Amino acid sequence: MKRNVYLRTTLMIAESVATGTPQGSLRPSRFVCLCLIALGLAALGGCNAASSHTAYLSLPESNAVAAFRIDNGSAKFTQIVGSPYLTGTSPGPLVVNPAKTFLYVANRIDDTISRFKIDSSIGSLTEVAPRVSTGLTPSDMVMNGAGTFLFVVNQISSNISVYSIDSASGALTQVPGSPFSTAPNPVTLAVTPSSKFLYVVDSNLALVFGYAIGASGTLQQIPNSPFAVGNGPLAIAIDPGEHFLYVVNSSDGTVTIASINSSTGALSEVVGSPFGAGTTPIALCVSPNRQYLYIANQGSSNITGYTMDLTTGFPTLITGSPFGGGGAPALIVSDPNGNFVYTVSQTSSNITVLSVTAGTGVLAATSESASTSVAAVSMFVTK
Amino acid sequence: MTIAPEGTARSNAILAVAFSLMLLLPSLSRAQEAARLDVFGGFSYMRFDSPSIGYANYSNLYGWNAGATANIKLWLEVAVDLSGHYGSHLDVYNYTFGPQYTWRRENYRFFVHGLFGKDQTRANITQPTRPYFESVGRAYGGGGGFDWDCSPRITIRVVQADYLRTDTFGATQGDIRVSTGLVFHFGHIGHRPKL
Repeated sequence: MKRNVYLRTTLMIAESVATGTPQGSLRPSRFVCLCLIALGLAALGGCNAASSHTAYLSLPESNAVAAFRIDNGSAKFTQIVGSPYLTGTSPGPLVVNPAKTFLYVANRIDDTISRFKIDSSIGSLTEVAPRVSTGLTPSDMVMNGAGTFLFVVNQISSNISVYSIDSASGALTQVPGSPFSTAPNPVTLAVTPSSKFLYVVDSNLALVFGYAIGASGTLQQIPNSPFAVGNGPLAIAIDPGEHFLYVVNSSDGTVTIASINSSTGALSEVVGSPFGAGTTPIALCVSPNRQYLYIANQGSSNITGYTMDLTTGFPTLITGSPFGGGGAPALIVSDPNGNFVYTVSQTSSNITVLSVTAGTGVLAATSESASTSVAAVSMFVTK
Repeated sequence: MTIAPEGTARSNAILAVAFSLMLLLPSLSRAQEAARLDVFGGFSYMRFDSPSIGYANYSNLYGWNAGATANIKLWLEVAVDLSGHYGSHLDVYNYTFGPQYTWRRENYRFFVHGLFGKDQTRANITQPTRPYFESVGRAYGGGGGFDWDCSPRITIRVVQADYLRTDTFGATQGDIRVSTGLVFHFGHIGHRPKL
């Protein structure tokens, strides 16, 4: 509408000039007014930028984090100016606080955590010194829903470092008792949305250890923990409703689904678990509406999709599954609105955008894609 | 809906109107004299296409615009145009030149011009190893304006509006610039009307 008024105004000016009647129908003062109105409308039209979210990917071969802005409607990726931003040596897991003011990335060779301030309008990163020490080889990292605690699982030192987060400065302070010991070779972890429970995956033992999170961030192992899963568990996810926990078992090509006891945190496998996936599943994500579970199968280069029964946790394979996933997907992340799924291939350094069909969860290829200079090992998408 | 198609449609409309005016204006020129050299300086606003470099929204930048115009004929000039705009962690400089067509009346003028040159954009994002990121790329576009004489030597540039396309940071931007200020005249060409 505004653009039509603007075009009509400019065409009227052009017509008046062409007919040589500036002092008649179009006096100079009127011309000035029309110019200013047209420019004002043009400027207003330009302010209607589409909403967007951001994605950050760690690039260990470059010792950097890449940053992209993603259009909510089209999923078009635009690299943020200055990206990639330098980190410590071999950055791996990364996480952004809920206020989107700080990004934390674990440097797996330095055994440190870098803290970056995020510019709210740009999305650019500026590191805030100093880096904080953690355990040996931090392999994964999560933050609780309130953004008050950061949990880091250290693969070689076999423990969990817990940090309290200063909301203003983003500074990390290790909580009393941290690091907390766990079994050898923990690889990944997940925290429930209510921040009551933390689950740590031990790949060698094929176990999931559960911990209750205290008010001060201390960890207390849940009764009956650990819980057995399939062989070679590598990734874990918790449904946003906090009813179910999902673990992909890379050696078995399956996914274990367990219900979470809301008061104790105890896990119980749902009937029929584990369920089939593709070859070497190594990542998974749950749609924001909890309805769909997507599993990235690196070995078979595709994505298994399930529709979830939100009461029983029983999955039903989505029609057409498995879907093409952009070639050996190693990471899979849902966009915050549940309209797209992003997969990252470590062999091609490509980011593939798949659209999610509303109502069915069917994944379809889109024309959008992006790439990083080197392979990414972790991806975080902001809300 | 995406940002780019809207911006492209608007910029195409501006360029089309500007081009039409460029074709029409020479034949409509009526004044008998002009300054040999016009020098312009003033305040300027730019709506910078910052989503193209990852910003969430467009950036409103403010700064200066300066230029000089050498009159070859009463209606044809060569314009040199310089500008600097600042804000939103950005410093944007444009160095351009190009032909300018002017339609002269007794005490006011309309003009349109095409501009070609370079753009230098600096993103002030401090990093441990560097204070900013900078990119230099080509710039081209066009626009026009309206001048009103307030004395024989000084004219008020009521408005100058330009659309500039620039290529920096591996992306293409479509920027709108609006300026106002004073124009100083030096020398003259053409015939002075007899008193």
